[in-house]
Amino acid sequence: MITPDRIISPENGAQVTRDLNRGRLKFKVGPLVARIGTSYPLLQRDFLDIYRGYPLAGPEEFVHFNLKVDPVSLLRRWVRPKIIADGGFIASPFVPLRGDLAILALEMGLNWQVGTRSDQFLIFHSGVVARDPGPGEEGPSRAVLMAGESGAGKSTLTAGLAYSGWRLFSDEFGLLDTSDLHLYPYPRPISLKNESIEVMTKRLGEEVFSRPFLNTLKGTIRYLRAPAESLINGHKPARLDLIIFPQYVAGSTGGISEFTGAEAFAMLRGASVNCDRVGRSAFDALSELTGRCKVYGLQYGSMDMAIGMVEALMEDAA
Amino acid sequence: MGSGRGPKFGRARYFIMNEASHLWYVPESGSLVWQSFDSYSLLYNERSGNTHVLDPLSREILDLLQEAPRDERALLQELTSLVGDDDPEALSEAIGEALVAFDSAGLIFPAYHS
Repeated sequence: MITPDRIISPENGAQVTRDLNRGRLKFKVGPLVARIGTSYPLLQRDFLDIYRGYPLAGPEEFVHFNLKVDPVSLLRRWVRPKIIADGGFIASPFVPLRGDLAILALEMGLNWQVGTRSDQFLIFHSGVVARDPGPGEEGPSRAVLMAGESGAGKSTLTAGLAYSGWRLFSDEFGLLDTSDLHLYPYPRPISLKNESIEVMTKRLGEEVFSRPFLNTLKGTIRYLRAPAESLINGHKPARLDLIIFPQYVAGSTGGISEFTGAEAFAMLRGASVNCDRVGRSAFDALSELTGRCKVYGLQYGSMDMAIGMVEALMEDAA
Repeated sequence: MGSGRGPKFGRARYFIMNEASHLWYVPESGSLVWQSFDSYSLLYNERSGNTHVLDPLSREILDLLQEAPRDERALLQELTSLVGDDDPEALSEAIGEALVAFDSAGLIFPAYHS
């Protein structure tokens, strides 16, 4: 049970900031605990803004990732600030970012940690949302995994579904337990870019968004906060029932194509971040998923169209 | 020992390995895990950690080599009896390509006629 004093909130902002300064803020996203630190005030403010409502981890809880995000030098703290994430990497995979983009450094650092150090899961580069059973209904929560190239529209579609009655698992990672083919939530803030920001602010209003981060390598980015319901139920897994490869095409009237057999397997394997490291159990899980789940390519021209198509496909997958 | 003989032996070995008539076999076939979808086969090699997608002809070739070591001519004979002899040249070419692919993936090893 999550109690108000055990979540990141404006009320305990001073304590959270102190823990960030000391490099020992432990918080939970789904099944994973991160310990992070930063002494950079702007990053502390942005973190408190987009991570409000996330559960804090207890002192005894296992820490999966450690990450510090700080200026590259004392000079660069004050003069044209440059910030870099340090996750204990032997050779840092990151380049320093401008001070006003420090939250991006933190987000990239966390993404890197998940993608490279969470081999207890078979990880997909994908968005995931799930349907929970309604009041009086029985049965498991059922998840849809949305994979595809960067820029295909999976984060936008994930955001649309997450604010339309589906539970947000992640816009970035599908964490699959290969022993039972259930996905675990990892509901971080959703990173939206450029045109997607306008689409989603029109639907949801400004208050669920971070401030805009301008002139990044990918254009303008805003973070959409995870719905509160997704954080409260962040420990509940869901059975993977549907796999789609969405593609936004302006003006599209919608299209669905089904992938089967070896082609579906190859596409799903291509979406996996760590199947080579996970090995045999990844092969077995991908084979079983290919045999059990429907795999579709979905082309959409608007958010409402896409949500309707996903709901219909999930209905069929029952 | 015999340092002057090394290079000569090396050349001879290389020559033999490139003979079309030498045998191929599948080592430790227990490390291969199969799944079939439609007409295609998926193969996971536990020794390399690699996954391969095989069309029906490639699957048949690997099955024959798993059964017993064979050379290219023997494979051609057996597969001709299975798929017919409409285009023996194309079949021979396909077998050669499959053997090169299997070899580079570490799925088959060369053996030698006794």
